Amino acid sequence: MKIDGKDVEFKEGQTVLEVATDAGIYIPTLCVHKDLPNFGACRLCLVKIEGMRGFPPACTTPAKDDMVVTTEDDELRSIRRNVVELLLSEHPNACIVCDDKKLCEQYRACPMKAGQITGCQLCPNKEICDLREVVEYLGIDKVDFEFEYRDVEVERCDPFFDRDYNLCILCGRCVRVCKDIRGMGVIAFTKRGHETRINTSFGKTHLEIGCRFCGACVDVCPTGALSARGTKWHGKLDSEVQTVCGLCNINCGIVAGVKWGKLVETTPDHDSYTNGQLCVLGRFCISGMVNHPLRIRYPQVRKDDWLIPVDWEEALGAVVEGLKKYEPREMAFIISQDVSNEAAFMMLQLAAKVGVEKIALAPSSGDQKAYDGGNAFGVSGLCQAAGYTPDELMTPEDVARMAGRGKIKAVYTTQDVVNIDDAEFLVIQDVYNSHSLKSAAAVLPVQSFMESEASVTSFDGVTREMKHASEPYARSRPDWEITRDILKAFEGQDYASLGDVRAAADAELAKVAKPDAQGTTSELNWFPKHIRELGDPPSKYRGMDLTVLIDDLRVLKEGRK
Amino acid sequence: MTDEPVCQDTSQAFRIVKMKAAAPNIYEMVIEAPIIARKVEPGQFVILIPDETGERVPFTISDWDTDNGTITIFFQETGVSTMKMACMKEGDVLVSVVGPLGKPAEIEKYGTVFLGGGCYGIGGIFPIARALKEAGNKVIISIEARSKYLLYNLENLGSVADELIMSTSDGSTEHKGKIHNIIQMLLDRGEKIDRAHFMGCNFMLMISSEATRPQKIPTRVALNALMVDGTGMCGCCRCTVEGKTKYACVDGPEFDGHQVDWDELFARGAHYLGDESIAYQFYGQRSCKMDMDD
Repeated sequence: MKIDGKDVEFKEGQTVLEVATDAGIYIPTLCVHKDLPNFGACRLCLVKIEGMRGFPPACTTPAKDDMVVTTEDDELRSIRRNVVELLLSEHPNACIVCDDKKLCEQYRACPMKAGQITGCQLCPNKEICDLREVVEYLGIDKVDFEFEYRDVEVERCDPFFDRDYNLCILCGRCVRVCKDIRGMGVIAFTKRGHETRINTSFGKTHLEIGCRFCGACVDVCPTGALSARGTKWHGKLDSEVQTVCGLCNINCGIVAGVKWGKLVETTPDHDSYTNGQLCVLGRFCISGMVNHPLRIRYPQVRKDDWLIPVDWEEALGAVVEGLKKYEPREMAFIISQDVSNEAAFMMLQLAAKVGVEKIALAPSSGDQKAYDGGNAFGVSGLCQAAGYTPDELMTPEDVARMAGRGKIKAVYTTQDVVNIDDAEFLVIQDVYNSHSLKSAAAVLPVQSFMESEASVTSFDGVTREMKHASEPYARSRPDWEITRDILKAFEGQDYASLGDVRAAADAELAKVAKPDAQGTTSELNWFPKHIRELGDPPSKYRGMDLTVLIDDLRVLKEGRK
Repeated sequence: MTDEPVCQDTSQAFRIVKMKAAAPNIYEMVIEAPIIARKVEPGQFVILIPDETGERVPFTISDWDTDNGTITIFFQETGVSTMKMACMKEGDVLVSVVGPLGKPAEIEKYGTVFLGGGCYGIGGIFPIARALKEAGNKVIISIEARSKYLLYNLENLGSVADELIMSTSDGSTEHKGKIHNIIQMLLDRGEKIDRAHFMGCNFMLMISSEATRPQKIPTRVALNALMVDGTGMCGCCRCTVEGKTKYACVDGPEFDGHQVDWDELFARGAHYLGDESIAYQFYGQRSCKMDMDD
């Protein structure tokens, strides 16, 4: 077929729009999204096709042999301008037509954090707005139609995201992603004609109607109508890092948005094996977790009953000195299933060097599921490679019980453990301040999975890399590095770099059989089956209940009951 | 000023008696604060704390009622604190309201006075306009917004203005443009302006002040500086006017618009953008009562 005089080839089943896009020809559109079935709602991709009457939309017209398509001429440009101006007659457009636009954008580079958006300068979506892009492409700087503000109330009654339907252009992307990709159908077009709105059945809240708050609708919205309440006001990002989520063992691909050295948002990674979809935790909770004031800031050592912030050298010195006072049989190590392969490997190396045989995995679970820990398969695989059968591994509860009976005196744990107060010498290497800190002899602050490089082995047996995205919180260090320094003090093998540790850990993992993920991997076109549902099981990260950290998550969980 | 010290009203709760959306994103809040209502003069402000985990935020007093012991503020939602305030309802109580703070506006008979208001300033400029009118001036008020539906407080302003001119970026009112375009229009028609007052965002103050500079019209602007205590102690609201360091809270908020170091003001205002943005991640986490280690 021919597009704009250019001979192009196409595959059976492609639309005119897809063929043009593949050939590098831009046709503006607002309702098309690559993950979604085509819909033909916005009427922007209208083209001329020889032998066809009127202006067929490129997105819903199948390509045929010998078609001759014109994508751009004065007439089409005028139609498109009209379409966009009609959209702008209901979508706040003052910033687009303002005479002071240039100066204003120079002085007010960051959006204004408004509750109700009445211009681009107040809009969190400004930097990524599809509508603005089309406006700029068409060079629109005035709107001939009179503007009519819908003046509907901004919906802020639900956790996690705000909905300002004054900005909605009714492209239907949110409706389609919810129904066709996530299989939920929480929202739909309601009413007709001029009154058409996106809404839930009977106008109930999303919480009442059973929305899972995965945020897929927020991610596809071409305007600022849907926005993540906690993570929208950063403006232009400094960097975006492709990494994986560490909150469950599916390890979905996420893009970490970084600004001011801090994690300001997490969005789904479309290039990852999870096809650009996330659950509520990955989409809305990670930034708040990583920046949370409950993070441990400094290494601390107990002196005269008080935990005193000290430097790393002193803290690690106290840990080594303390551990050396005990017999190996009086010691237990608790390895969190949320730590990386490198961290777990180093813990096991240290255990072997010191002679500790009591190893517990946390959280404990006989029946292993993908959700148990951010790296459940990696950590348990490494334990297996180190010679521990599942029966030999203890649970944190066993350790607490034995500590209560005086059988275990020293505990080195990488997460919060309940009722561990009876241990004489407790070393906590953790991310958050928890109740166990009350009885800790030494506290070692660790970087979260957003701050340090590491690898995890997902439920399908594939090892995936976590990247360094945001700057480390206060004085925290990576897990593997802390344990490496302790191991060094015990005159164990010295690992110079993360690469050395990773190579050794990978070699260990290669010894064990890959997890049997046949049943699950075969369904890997899998949405929404394997994106976990909240509350199944409790959402925790290294023993810390995430509903304590993220208030909206508590609201969601309580609303679910 | 009387001898009575400026004090925090501790005699009763700062109850919200009226809460209303004046325009999209702009709210009118009437607060019970009898002592402040008795003492306030045009151009002064209060610092209030919305809730027990809230921060101190300054707001221009936009009207008051001595008989009922109330003050009115208009505020724009533009951060976590104002988001909390926007969610409050009539009958709710603010944790604290301190004021009146700052120097009152200079009110004399000047002749023709031009007042320009944008965003919260459309509400905040009213007491100054009223006092200037009462002092015998010809008062021309111009207000600006992106579009017609964002203008408010028209009745109040109309009652004290000899002329009220509405300008909008999108041309949905008679005049397309901003306040600086209106000043030019007035000058073009031969109006002699003896003094100008501006209240609104810093960007609007800067652009408007530039418009009165060529004619050397004495120009007063109510600066928006980040502020903590409001009594000259913390130095957070530092700004440079006529090459000298000033505190917007005790030396202002009004300054000579032609002498302000705008670049510094914008730079200082942007200093906490990161923290302001990240604060949204923790909004509503008031249930989080665990001890923190610092």
